[in-house]
Amino acid sequence: MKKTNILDVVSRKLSPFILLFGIYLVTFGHISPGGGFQGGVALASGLLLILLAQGPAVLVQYFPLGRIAKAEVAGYGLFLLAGLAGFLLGAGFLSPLFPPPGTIFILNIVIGAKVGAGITLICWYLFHEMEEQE
Amino acid sequence: MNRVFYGTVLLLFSFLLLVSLVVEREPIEQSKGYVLEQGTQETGAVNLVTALYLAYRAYDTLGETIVLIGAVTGVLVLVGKHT
Amino acid sequence: MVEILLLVHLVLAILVLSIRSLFTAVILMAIFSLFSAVLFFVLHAPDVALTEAAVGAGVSTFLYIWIVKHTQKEPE
Repeated sequence: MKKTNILDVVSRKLSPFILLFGIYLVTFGHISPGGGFQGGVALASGLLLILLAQGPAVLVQYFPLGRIAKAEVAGYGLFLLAGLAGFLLGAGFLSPLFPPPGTIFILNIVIGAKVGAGITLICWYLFHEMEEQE
Repeated sequence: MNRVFYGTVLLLFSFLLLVSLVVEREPIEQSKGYVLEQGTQETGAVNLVTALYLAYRAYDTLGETIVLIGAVTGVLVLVGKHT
Repeated sequence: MVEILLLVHLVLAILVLSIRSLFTAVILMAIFSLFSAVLFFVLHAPDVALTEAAVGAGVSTFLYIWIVKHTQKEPE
C-alpha cells in the first residue's frame, strides 16, 4: 500500500493532540469523565497512529520499546506497592494513604501509564510480526 | 426456514433490549444512595465512577491490571520470538 | 433518540454480517462502535462512551485488520 501525503500530514499534526487529550483524561480523571483506563487507551491510540502512519522507526525514536516495557512493569509494581503500603501501615489492603483526592490522582496516573504502555506493546509486536511476514 | 427462525429470534432479542433500555425501573437503592451521598466526601473525587473503581473497588482494578499484563506476556510469548 | 440509534445499530449489524469483503466489514464494525459510543453518551455514561470510542474504534479495528491479513487466502 502506498502512503499518501494526506495521511502523513494528518497523522503528524493529529497525534500530539491525541496524546494531550489522553494526558488530560488521566490527570483530570477524578473531576471530569475519564480516568486511568480511558486515558491510557487514548494515549495508546495516539501512539498507534504514529506507528501506523509513520512507521515503527519513528515511534521507537521517540518512545523506545525498553522504556514502554518498563512503564508497563512499573505501573503494575507501583499499584501493588500502593496496596501493600496500606497493608503495612495497618489500614488494610489498598486503603487510601493521602488526603482525599491524592490517592485517586496517583492511582489514575499509574494505571494510565500502565494501560497505555501495555496496549502499545501489544500493537507494536503484532505490527512487527505483520511486517516480517511480507 | 432456518433464516426465518434466526431472524425471529434476533428480532425478539432486539425488542427485549429496546424494552430494557427504554422502560424506567426502580434502581437498587442502598449502595447507590450511599455512594451518591458519601462518595465525594470520602474519596475526594467528583466523578463518582472513578471513585467507585479506584477507591471502593480498587481490588477489581488490580485484577484488571493483572489481566492486561497477562495479555502482554501472551503476545510476547506468541509473536515476540523473532524480534 | 435512543430508538433511532438502536435502529442504526441493527442496520449496521446486518450490513456487517451480510457484506462480502472482510475489510469493509471491519470498517463497518468501527462505525458500529462509534454509534455505540454515541448511544452510551446519550444514556448518560460518558466514561463508557470514552472507552468504547477508544477501544472499539481504535485498537480493536487494528486487531481485526491484523487477523484478516493473516487469515486471507492468497489470490490464485
